[in-house]
Amino acid sequence: MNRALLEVRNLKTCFRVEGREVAIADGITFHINRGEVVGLVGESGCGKSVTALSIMNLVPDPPGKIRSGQIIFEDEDLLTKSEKQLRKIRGNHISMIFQDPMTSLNPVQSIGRQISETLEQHQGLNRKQGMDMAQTLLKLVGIPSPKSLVSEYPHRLSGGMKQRVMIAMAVSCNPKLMIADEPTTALDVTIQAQILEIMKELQKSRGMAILLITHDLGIVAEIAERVMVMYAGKIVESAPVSRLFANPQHPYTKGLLSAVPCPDTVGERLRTIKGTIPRSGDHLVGCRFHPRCEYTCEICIKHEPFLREVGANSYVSCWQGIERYPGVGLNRE
Amino acid sequence: MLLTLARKLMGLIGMVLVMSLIAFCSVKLIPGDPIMTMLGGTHATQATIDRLRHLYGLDLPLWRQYLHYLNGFFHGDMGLSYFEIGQSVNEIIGSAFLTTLKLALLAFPFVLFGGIGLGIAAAHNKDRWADAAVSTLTVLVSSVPQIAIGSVLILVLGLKLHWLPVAGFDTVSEAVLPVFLTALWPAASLAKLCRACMLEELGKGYILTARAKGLSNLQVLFKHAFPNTLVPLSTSAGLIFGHLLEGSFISETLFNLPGLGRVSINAIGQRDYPVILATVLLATLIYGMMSFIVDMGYALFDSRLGVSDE
Repeated sequence: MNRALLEVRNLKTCFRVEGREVAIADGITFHINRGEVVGLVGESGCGKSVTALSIMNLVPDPPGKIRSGQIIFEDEDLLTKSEKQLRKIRGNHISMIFQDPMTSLNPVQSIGRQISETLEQHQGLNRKQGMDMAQTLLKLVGIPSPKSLVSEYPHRLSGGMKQRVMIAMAVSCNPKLMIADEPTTALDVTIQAQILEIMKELQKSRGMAILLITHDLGIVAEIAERVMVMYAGKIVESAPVSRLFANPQHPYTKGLLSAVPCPDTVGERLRTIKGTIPRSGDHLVGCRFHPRCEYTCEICIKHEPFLREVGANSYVSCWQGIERYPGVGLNRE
Repeated sequence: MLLTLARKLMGLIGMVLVMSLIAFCSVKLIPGDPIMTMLGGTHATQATIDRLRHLYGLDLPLWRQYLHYLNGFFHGDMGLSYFEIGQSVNEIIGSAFLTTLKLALLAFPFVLFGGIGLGIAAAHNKDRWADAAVSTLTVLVSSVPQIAIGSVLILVLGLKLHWLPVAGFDTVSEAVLPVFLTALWPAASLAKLCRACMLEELGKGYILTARAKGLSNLQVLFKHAFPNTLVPLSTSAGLIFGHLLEGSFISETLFNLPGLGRVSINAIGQRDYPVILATVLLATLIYGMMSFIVDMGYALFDSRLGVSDE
């Protein structure tokens, strides 16, 4: 099977903000192959999490709504499926872990029961089998005494431990895709490394694909094979990790990479991208990045660029580097 | 665990002692002389008055009256009524409490299931018609006085349509109106609380986790969100039950039921000190017990509030 595991085509997810409908994810197109780790990076508020929730069809409605597009998972469009069919996929074939492990677990249910619940739901296990399986899973995510932990409640666990529990829960049914929405953002750095290590190991041993959503380029460099950069609801660049870090194409990606502090720049002022991201709901014409871009020209203000191939598996959405614009009828400069 | 239990029980006894003193003092502060009230407008001789005063222990200094009363209370004897001559307070309170208890026990399930059911339904359908209906209903019930609702019910269902009897409390059809009226306000307030608690829980992260697991709406509501609301809901339900056990003057008067509410209000009007004191202490005991039970319940609902001896 050569086809991608997940193909998102032209996804448009809108939210009602102050009475107006605003596209938070606007024409998102990407794919994830089987067993592949793909990073999705971008600033807070650029639509990363909404994209992730759209894949699961879990966008809170109201105020959110998926307006158009296709989400093809294993050759079937998830957006045409009923809620009942979707429930069979959620937690079973596609699972998800979230940013804040502190609030992601139910405070009044034991750890074991919460893990077992997924197994009971999808694998037809009974409570006892589920609890046994929970122990095995907890061991897998590196929890030292799983036997005593299954009967513990979340408040007795540290943030790192809770995120391990979340991972154990997410991999319990051997999903084909795990969506990790900023899984390490709320954790301190040493714990971050451990969590990433566990995710990497599980991904390898189980052959599952991961969509890793983060705003931390370091994490992407560490575990992703391919990375997509999102800006104001659009994917602006997509490339294999090594290529993106060595040779970023989009001015926004360049700006992000130059903002990462490195040992050579000790003592210098940290670089930033001037300006701020557009507020959701601002009317945008042309390239969404043009107010902040150093290379803006006339066409950038008038016409929106599109993703075009610039190398193997590499795409960028920028007018730069195109001498003539077929179909647009404008010459550069 | 046992230590905490013992400590809470000690607290309960302390509370009863303090309340007995407060109640005793405030009763003594009510203007008017019980003996004169008892004798009504008759022209009794001073000797009769003195004899009665002595009989009821009212000629003793206040502190001895209090100790005498307390002694009686701990032996389960609340003394004699000043008004119902010859009747003991135990008899009066006992029979009134039975009526009230019956009403409370009948109304409480409706309060619990009605209030919680409506609250969950409203929260689940936030900003849709079901939510609007429940909100309107709760506002209506809590803003219109009980006496007005009760009178309308009696008038329409009882006197005009003749569907239900308007007094008595012995048959099922007789019980419908009093139970409904008694349950109405507490159910509305519980529904409002339940809706707010459910909405708060439904916005939390673990709900999204539960949905991402592939659980159905009902599973998310009842297995995840609802158990997290049990602490505030049980607190409120406990107080509501305590309140029901005190009786309600209004519904008892409307339906002519000999319950605690009427007994206590009448006792105040008649300067019937022993009965007033007994109703106050009974209410204290009821509230104390309810909060004790609710406290014990917390540990069951939420392990974070577990009872520990530290």
